[in-house]
Amino acid sequence: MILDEGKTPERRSILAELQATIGGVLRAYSGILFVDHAAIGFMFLCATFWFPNVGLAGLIAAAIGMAVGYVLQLPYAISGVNVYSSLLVGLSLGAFYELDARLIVLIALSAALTVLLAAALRDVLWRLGRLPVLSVPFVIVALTTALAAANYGGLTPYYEPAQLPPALMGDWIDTFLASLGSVFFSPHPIVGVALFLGIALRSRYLAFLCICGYASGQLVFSLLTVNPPPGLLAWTGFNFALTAMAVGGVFVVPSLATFVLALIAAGSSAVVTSALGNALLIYGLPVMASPFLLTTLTFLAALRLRMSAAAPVLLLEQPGLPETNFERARLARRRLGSLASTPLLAPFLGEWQVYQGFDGPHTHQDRWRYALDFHRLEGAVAYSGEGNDLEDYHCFGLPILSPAFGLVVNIQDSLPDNLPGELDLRNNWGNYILVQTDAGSFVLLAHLKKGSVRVHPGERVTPDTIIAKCGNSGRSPQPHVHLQVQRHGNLGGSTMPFHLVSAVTRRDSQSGQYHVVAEVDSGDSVQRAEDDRQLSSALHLPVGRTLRYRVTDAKGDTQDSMLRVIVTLFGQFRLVGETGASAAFEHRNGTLAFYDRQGPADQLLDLWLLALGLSPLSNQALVWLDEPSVRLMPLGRVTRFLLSCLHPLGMGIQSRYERQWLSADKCWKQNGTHTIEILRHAHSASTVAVFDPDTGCRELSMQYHDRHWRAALLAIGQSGDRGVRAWEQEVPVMGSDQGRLIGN
Amino acid sequence: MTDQSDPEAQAGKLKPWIKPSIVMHRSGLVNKFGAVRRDRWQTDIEEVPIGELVHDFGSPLFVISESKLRDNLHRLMRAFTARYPSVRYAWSYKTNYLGAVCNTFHQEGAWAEVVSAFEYEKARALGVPGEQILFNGPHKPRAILERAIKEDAHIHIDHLDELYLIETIAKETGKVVDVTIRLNFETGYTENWGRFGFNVESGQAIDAAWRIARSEQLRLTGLHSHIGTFVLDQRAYGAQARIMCAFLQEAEDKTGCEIETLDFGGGFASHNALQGIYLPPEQVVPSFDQYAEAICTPLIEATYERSARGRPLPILILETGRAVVDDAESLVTTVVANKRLPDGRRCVVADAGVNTLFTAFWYNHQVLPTRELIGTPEETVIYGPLCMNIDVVRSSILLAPLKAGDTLVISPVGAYNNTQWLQFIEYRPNVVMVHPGKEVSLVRSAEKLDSITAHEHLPKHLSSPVKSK
Repeated sequence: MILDEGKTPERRSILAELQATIGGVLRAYSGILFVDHAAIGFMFLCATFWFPNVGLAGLIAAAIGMAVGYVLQLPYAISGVNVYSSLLVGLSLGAFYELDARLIVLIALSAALTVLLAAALRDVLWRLGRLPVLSVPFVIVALTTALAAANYGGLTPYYEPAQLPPALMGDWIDTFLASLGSVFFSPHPIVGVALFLGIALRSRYLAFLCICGYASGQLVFSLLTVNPPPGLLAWTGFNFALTAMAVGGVFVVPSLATFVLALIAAGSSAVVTSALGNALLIYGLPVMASPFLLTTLTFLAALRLRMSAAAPVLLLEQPGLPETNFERARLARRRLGSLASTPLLAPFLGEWQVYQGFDGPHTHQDRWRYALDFHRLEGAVAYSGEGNDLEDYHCFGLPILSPAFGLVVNIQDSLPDNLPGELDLRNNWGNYILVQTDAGSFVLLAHLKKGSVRVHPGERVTPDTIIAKCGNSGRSPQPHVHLQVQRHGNLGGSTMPFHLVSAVTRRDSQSGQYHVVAEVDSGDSVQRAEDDRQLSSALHLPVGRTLRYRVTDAKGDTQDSMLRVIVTLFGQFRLVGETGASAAFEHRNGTLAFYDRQGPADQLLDLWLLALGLSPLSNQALVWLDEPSVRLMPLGRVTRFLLSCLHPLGMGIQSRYERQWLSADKCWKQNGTHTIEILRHAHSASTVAVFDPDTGCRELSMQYHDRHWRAALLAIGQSGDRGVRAWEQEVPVMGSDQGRLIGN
Repeated sequence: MTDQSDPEAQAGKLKPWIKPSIVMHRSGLVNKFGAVRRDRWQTDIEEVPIGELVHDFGSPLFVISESKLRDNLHRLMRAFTARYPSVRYAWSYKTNYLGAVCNTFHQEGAWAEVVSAFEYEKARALGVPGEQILFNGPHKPRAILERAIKEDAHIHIDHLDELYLIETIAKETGKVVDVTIRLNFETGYTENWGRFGFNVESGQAIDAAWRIARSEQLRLTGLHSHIGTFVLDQRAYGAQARIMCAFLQEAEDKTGCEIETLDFGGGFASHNALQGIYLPPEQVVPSFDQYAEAICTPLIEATYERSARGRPLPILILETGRAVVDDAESLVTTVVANKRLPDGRRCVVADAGVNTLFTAFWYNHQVLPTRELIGTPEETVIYGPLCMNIDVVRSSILLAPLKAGDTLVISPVGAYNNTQWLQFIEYRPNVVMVHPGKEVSLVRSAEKLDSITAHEHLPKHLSSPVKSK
């Protein structure tokens, strides 16, 4: 989006460019320990100057690496991702040789080589198996340089103090901290303290993994070695810690399973360390980070091929801090069901009944246990008249819709429909459509009506595409539609769990209930929650929209604050507050859902997210549940601290929403009650959002204990663009009694 | 409800005495649709004995089944919602505007479709909010239009004069009014009801759309058409869907409006036998599924691309009244007298005639006795109580002899009778509703002298039947 003052971000100033470059270098420092943050990178940079020779060599290598990437216009040149290996090479050279003109030549060449290798390997490993490049280029180039340096008599060896300094905090801790310092070739406990603090500042869980990983590797080492060579742990122990951090935190959704896995990986890396140590000793080479790389990449590459979607869950495509990974997964699980199960929409219009559920008695067994059959009953009977003709059956010939976004892989459309009671066992699935969903799994819809399939292989389908009609072909004694999810694209392959989302379900004669995630079984009635046009337009947030609110906080102070809608380069809509805090949102499939809250505290944004975080846009949705992040609760500092100790990975609020249409005021009122339990003590807040089709969300309020927050919409606007003038329009105050609140 | 007589059960009984009569031999008693249904009778309505109903509420008596009303609407909606994602139903008040009937449908989510100031006021009085009222019809006086605009009702414009009037009112009140225009066109299957709305073929309709597009006070958001009544050929609706979608496209392309609703009106046939139609209703009346298929298939085809482009699908509105209400109501009437007509035919006089059962003018209703009739069925004429020659309930029906005091059940009578009935010669009778659980309540009480004279005003010199001197 372009701002209305006429600023155009076409050409960045040199100053901004320089700022970004420095930021990139700093982030390279922090990235080595998985905590991507410029300020912490600066802290690490300072720490490397504990041994100035090392620190300076590293900085030179980083600067050269950055310059090479920039001059050659390699991808992500400024972000620093290709640079941290160069930095490590520089640090390693600085740890072995005195910094002089000759060494600078060597540093420059190897730093350049490392950047190139990093760019190349990043691409290769990604294609190979979505694997991260980590510091592989560093180890390759550092080992190469070390081998080559044997020939270069011109270099002056540099000796870091070989002995550990006097004990600071006890042997074990000192060794641990020194080994952490070894990551930056500065094996000193003080350096270790700085690095550990940096990690802990960003992620307590990562710091915890760091200690546990080290302990696990050290335990294996002590068990198997009677007398570990002095200083060996201090130089190589970081491998265990890094392995645990990668396998247990950065590339996975943290869970008990990934924690155990991290400990096993760290232990294994200890064995690898010994083995590589012996192998490289022949050439007089140190192991550096190779045990960490070998172990981590082996674990990740193998786990990627698992046949189950249950924990441990890998996040190779979107690694992050464990807290972020956990929060994303937690919210996704609450809203879209278990990560091991594929979310689908019901593949039909109107209300149908489940004829056979998972593990059904007829055919949903063994490899095909995860399947649902649907048909339509009226008064417990599937047909009218005699039921001798297919046309007598209520569901026969009804439209079938795609249950997900995806690509049609295969179809069959020519098999005849059986007479009621007959089966075609030669063609079990009858006429079918196989769709590969955007999430990668395959959806099979079977027993379709002959000649009714209206899509072709290669065609893109969306959940509102009518793709066929319900029929009675294949192994189908009465008209119905069969739905299953498979891992592979072969017809009738092994099935995987799936579930329906955004559905209204009904059991027996109860009235229908809206579910974000619906679990259905034989006999249940199911229908899609239909998108309501008015609701949808009331909560529509087009790009560039600005919403100015008057916010009254708990103390009674008022101030105006703005929310605006942006779209990111990668096509993600975000609602941004004045503090720069933002949250991504999706408005589709009948739901408005906010997620991925980032940035500092923002009263208005957090109020909005708590009151409207998950809003189904169906009139049938009267009550629903959600679990937004506990960050959104207006808790006191003490409670917040207590919570971060009890639930270091974060937790969800138990939120229950209900919505009603107030016909007198012509608006919807969405109430939320939000409860969390800390040490058996329940804290609860309530929110109200009032919105209407003309003005959108015109009022938000929250009550927590006796404190009260309120935001009233003052104006709606639109940011300008080149050639488009920005505008803002005041929102008329509703009714004559200005002070009246619908929210109360 | 109905029963077959069991000859074996009769075997041991004494043969009842039958009054002898001479009946001409003829070969019309068996036809190609099967034997004469001489031995059917109905003893109860929704398990409430008819004798009990007549005892408590008198005769004639209209009896409505609440569960049948709900069930019919469910079936209609199920048929359509399984074929189109966005369906709205509006209860056609003119079909039956008894408050209990209307509210039963409103409770099931139905909006109100009204065609006059009276019906509008009735819907509002029942508690239907303005924004859930569709206001149809060729006569909407200014006062009621003002109210409808104020209350955000959905106005369906019938003619240009109405369009101008709405525009004037909107201008005066400073409102932008969302309007729907009614269309008429040739479907090829029905007679064009050209007197309502704007004609598509002549270009009148697109002119109206243009006129609305140019108005600052009006916004065209809906199209409406009602192709006829008791339409037995569902293909007519397929044609209607195609024509309306083509017009929707044209109007949107040419005038830049965005159509949100497509109102298909009503006209679905009920299971009643129209006079002059040879085949019985079971064979000629399409099912809800058939109507739905006929409408939704071309509708989906025509709007398919629209949904792919991310534009919302128009909401399909149904106003079908007759097919939903007709078979939920019966009329119980009592035989007053038996007669033999000069031409030899037998006739009975019942206490309900065309005054009560207005639809007898065009239907051959099903008439069932409430006990097993003994004797030979004979061609019979059923007359009503009016001293008018046209008061014929059934001009020819095969019935065994009836006694004065016998009751008959006439059905289906749910559509148009409680709205078109006449206060002519007789009082209009009680209407009761049978609720689930066999509970019965009176939903409209029989008229008394006061009901009719309450609105009369006698000038002073006419206040007495005796001329004052």
